[in-house]
Amino acid sequence: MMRKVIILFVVVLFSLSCEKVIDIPLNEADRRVVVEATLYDIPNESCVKITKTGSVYDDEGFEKISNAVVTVVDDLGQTHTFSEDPANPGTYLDSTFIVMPSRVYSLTIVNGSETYTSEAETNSTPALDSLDYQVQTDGFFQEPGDTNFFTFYSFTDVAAETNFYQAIPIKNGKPSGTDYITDDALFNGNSFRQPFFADSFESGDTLDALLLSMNEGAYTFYLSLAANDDGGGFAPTPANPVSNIEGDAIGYFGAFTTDVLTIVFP
Amino acid sequence: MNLLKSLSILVVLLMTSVSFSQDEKFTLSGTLKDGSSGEDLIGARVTVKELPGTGAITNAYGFFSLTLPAGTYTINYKSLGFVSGSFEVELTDNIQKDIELKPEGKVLGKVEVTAEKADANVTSAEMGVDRLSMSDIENIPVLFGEKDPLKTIQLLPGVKSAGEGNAGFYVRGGGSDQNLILLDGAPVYNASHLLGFFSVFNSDALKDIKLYKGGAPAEFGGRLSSVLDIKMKEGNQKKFSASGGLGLISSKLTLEAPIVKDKGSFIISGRRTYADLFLKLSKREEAKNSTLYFYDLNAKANYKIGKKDRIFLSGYFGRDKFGFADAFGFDWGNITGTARWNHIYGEKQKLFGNTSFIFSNYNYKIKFGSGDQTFEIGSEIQDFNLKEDFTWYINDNHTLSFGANVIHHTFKPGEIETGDGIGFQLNDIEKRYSIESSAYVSNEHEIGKRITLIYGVRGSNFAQVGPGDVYSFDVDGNITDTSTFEKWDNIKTYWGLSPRLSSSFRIDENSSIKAGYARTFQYLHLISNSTASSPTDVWLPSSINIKPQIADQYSIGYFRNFLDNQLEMSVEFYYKDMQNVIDYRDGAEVTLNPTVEGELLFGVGRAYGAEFLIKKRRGKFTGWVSYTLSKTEKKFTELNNNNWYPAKQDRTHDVSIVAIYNLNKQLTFSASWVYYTGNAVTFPSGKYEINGQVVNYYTERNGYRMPDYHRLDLGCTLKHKDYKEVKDPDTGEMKQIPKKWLSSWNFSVYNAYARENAYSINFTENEETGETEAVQLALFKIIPSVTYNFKF
Repeated sequence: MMRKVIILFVVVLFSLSCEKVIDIPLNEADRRVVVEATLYDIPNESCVKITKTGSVYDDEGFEKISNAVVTVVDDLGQTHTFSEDPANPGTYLDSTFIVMPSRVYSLTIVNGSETYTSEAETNSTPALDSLDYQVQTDGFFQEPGDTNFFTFYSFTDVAAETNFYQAIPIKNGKPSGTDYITDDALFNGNSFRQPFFADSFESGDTLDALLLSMNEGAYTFYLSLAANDDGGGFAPTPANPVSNIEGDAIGYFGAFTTDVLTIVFP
Repeated sequence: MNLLKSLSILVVLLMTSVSFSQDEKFTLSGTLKDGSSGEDLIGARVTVKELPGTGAITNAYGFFSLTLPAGTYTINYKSLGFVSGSFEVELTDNIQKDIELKPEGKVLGKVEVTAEKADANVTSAEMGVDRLSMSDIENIPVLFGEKDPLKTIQLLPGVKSAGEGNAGFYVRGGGSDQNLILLDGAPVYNASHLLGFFSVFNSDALKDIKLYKGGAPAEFGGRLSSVLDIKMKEGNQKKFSASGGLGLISSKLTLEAPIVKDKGSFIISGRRTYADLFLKLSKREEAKNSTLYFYDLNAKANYKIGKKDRIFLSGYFGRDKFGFADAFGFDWGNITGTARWNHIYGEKQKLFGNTSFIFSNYNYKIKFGSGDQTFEIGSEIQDFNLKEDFTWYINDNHTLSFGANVIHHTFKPGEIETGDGIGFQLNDIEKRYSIESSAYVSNEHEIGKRITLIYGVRGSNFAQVGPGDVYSFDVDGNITDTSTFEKWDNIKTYWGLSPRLSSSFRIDENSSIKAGYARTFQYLHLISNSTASSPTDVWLPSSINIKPQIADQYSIGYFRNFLDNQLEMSVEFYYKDMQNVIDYRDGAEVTLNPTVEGELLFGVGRAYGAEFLIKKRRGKFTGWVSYTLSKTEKKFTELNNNNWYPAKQDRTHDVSIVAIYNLNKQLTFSASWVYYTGNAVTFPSGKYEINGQVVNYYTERNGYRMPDYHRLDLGCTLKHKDYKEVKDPDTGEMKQIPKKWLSSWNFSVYNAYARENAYSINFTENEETGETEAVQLALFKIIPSVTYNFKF
């Protein structure tokens, strides 16, 4: 968030800058296996994608890994097998699977002679308390006279748990692109209210506010992924997002419990 | 063990020097001043004609003390930029004499205040020291024509700029937070305005700037790589005067006047930028309602009480403001204050004492929303420092400095406030408190005519004290334990002993070899994983989890002057070993994180290099060529597979060329050219897709280079004549009458050949073709600017 503020500042300050595409020769890293395993408490949303890294200047798409054996076992001993979607090679699905709160899920992927594993613990299901807004005229980066709904979401944290949240504003069916990620360190056990400060909504817009509670591994991955995003002089030394996959693979395993609230702006 | 040894050597050396006192000796002491303004002259030379090789150099308050056997002497005094002089003295008693020097020629708007003696470069034992003259700062062209001492020092060997147009700097491989920046003795915690593009130092209010790149005197401590000691002007002791300037982005005004003539004076200097005034003219509402400016206010007063006492009060207040209507506000700034009392002790006036009470504060505030729907984040660091320094002019061969200080630090890493309408409250990040104390002793010892030694030791203690919760972390940065401490409970204490040595051996009149060693400790750490300096960077104290950073620096150099000291040449080599340096876990969140200590990694660093400098100091044509060849590396268990990797600021080659040509009294041309190897950066060596977005895949840390950087800046100063020609009605002759109102124009061009230097390079997908491209962002092409300066 802080970095966004600073970038905004730089934008205001430097209208004098110029951009151009330059030629920079790059090394070729060894190909790595990439796992994207996301389990939700929403039917048919859970899926595991297995791909490979590619070369920076190659735009032919990424290699998919087929014929892997993907299983998810929960702490009650139930085993769920995810099978490859014939229409989407490298994507593994289990239409019967649904994430439950306060469980531990273990992921095992067998890819030929290699095995990748990970674990994810879910907390209690989050609950959005409310969505409310302030009407602003002549707001930040707006045309004169424009009206804008500055929207807040609020929820209450469970004190006994260490929670990791992500709020996703979906405007007219499309995720806005800004993810609001936070842990509960600053508001453990309290109610929390924050604006979707990077998003503006106009009269007639529909907002579906999605709130996710996730395992720490997924949170760390998202946070470290976002840290590389900003570029420019204010970004830290870029690094690979922190993976929670064991074995010779990168990527992450996330288990999410969710809640959604909808509002239509008058 | 080593430290004990150096201490005992020090004691022995001191004993031998003090023990024998023979004939009756008396002390001649006094102050050297600029005759036109009454400003003290720092580093001016006082010599005794009858005793070649005997002399003294004035200290930071223009004070000197010379102890000689009874007799009659001719005392010579000289100072660069001033008319030299001499007087006879019959030394049958202790004598105090203040001397006023006349400036050489009448130079408009600037008096060469740097008064260093011509051959100091070779004779002094100090090494790795650079002193900037205010006239260099006046003449060297800079971005937007905004004179800035921090940008001018970047043109010196061993000093590197933190980035395009940036006032931040790196010294000999150290980080930008490892420089102790002092304004009248008060540390300035964030020396930048507008995200680092300008420094907080308004050159109109400054008198003297000295940079210690290594081997700083034992008086200084607390930062690893350098000390930048900046002193403000004292104000005109003779008459009221005003000066100012109107520039492209800011205006300045300085007023100075005597409080009581030749006894006390004051100076007030202010500067404000006005980019936002142009925004008001904009048709766009968003621009009209935006705020974007900074200001600085420097003030200082001094008063002489009798012959032996003098009191100084000085302060700095500056702030950046950025905001949009009521919806958003972001402001930050420093406040410093120094109260100082100089006292000359004893009949013989051989002991110069300095008691200072110093205050420093840096804070920022960010505010979202308006009315009762507000959300505010703030952070602060605040110091109270009591400092006592003494200089004892024992005899011609020994000058002993000693002193002690104690600092109380308060850290507020994050204060969060929400308005009543928000309906919830966030927890603040715990405040921290610590006490930093130190004592030092150092002796400048001349052995014969050829050898000068400065040896000393500084002992320091740093204690983190309660109240507070203290976390312990495992190797992955997870909390394993929390302990709670009460007010003034001692949480963790560190001790540090820093020996300092610098030596010079004179080969002949014009050349010398110098060598030095220094150990430094740093107890405060700037927590920032961004490349450029940001107002939201927070300082944290050493604690159970953060050990003090330690550096050992070894240096050796050869110094030679040519052409009657007109040309100076030096070569210096250094090697620096660093321990407990800080880096961050991948993806670390360092802002507003209550357990930020778990995000830190501790490793080692090493830096070495060679610095070459040729400088012409006098004449119509002045300037220098500097070249630095260097390497800076770091190693962390958790990063880059525990292999050494180049630090961001590792630049193999760094060249600066500065030329200033005084065509005549009215016209001065200047140019500077810089070239350096691009910073070490991390570029991707692969990519992959996750969450529907293409993400870069990195292998080696800082394994690539930014493109080479180079830039030419040009400047020209045109002064109006400082006299009127009037026909004498009686004789009919033309007479020159000095003008009261003096003015000048300064024109400059930044990046004269419009080189597009890379500020950042991002690997992003082209939105149309989907191909990954390397996109370079260049900040400034040609930037011309103009400033009008006046003085009356």
